[in-house]
Amino acid sequence: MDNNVVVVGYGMVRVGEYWYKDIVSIGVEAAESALEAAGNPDIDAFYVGSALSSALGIQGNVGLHIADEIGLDDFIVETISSGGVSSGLAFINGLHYLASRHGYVLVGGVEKTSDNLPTEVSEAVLVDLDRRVMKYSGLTEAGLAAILARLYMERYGVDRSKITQISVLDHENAVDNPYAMFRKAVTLDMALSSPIVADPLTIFDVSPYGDGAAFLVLTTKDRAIEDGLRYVEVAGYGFARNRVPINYREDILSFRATAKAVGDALGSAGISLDDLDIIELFDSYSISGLLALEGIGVCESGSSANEFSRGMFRRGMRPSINTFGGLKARGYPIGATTAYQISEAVIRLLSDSDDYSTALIHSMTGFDDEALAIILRRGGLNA
Amino acid sequence: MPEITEWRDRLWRYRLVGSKCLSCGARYYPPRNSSCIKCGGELVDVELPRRGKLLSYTVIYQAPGIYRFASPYIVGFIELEDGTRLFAMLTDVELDEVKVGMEVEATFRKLYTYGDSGHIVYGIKFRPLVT
Repeated sequence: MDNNVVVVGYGMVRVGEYWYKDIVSIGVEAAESALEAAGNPDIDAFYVGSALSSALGIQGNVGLHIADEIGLDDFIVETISSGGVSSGLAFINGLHYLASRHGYVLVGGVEKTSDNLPTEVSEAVLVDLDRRVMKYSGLTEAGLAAILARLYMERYGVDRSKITQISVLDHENAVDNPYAMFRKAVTLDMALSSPIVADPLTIFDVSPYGDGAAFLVLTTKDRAIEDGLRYVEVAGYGFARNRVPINYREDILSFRATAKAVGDALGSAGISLDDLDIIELFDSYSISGLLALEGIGVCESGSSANEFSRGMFRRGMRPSINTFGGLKARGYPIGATTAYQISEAVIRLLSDSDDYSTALIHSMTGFDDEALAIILRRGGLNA
Repeated sequence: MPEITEWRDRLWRYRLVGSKCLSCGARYYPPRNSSCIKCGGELVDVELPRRGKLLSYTVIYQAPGIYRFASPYIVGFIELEDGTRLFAMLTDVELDEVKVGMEVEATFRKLYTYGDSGHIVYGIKFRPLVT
């Protein structure tokens, strides 16, 4: 990529359960704070990801309703519903818009999971996977993760306890994240002795759904410099799909869409894996994070669980993974998740105290069904 | 009418029917609508072998509404004798008897009932191979 598009602002609400706020109001809160951070520019397009707001009957076409509240008129508003990558695709739409036009674009996502019973949310998520495969087998999304985890343990001789170390790291990293749903460190023993969701996985292997909204303001590099804004560069991206249903795949432990998307993203940024300081990994389940990391190529197949258990990937190490808590501890506001991942990387890359210059954001739907990779690079005017 | 989807799928579900590629022999379950992913060849319906082995499994404790009556239950990832891989519930087996690698066979069973209509949905489960 020609490094033309930059991020000049972000805004988030803490992921959680907002009994007293509706989906539009949390969307408005995050969108307004992103706009304020970017100096309240006039917006030319607005792309909003939301996986479930229509499916759960909460608020259809939610982007329109947020746009109206924040007083944005006469420009494109699009609501995108593509599971866990919804807000990531909103971000990509923003890049595409700015590839041919100038101006400012607002992108991100919003999700409200606490207005429905947890079982209703799980079943709405299940519908995104192959209806026939899941319904006639009694499999759940967590059950599918559990089947992957057991296969991984059997094939590579990995001890059960090592699968969950990634969740322990997530919790450690969320302690000082004001936007995280769970800001408590946990021990591996606590995680392993918690209630079973789908054997062998416990609630600590399953990322918690939560309400959330996160938005980013994008513009062109020239414009950011002209307007005196600090920015982070969008250096590259890639998108790929794997076979669905998952049992059609040659090997269900091979996250080849992730591999392809990350390879394309690195290629378009003109960098290699060794250049990455941060990886924001889509660990909707502990095993998903492990398999994704192996797909990315940071670890050999079957070795990522051991690497986490050796204490790798903590903050300050290269690469640092899920520096603000990942999906497990920051929370998993389904269609808004990628926008949180991007915002977290932007915070790190804008920080004067952090020594990070390049970040990979990895996001996906299901189990590598679709994979999105975005490379961000520390930009100018950071003084 | 939600039952219409189950009714539409009944024949392949009852008979364990998948797709077979006439060019490269690849097999798919459930059956695919279009052509072979691997070679683009034409697909025809084929009854799949009813025996296989268990590659992996889970025990579901948090079940979807239609299966809540059965929880906890076991779902297996099974490779049939022709190499086709699928997910199916295991039956006629205790939780502590399930082992990766065990041989299993297909059996026709009730899956679930629709709440208001009482419509019963049947399909295939797998049980340990009786030798």
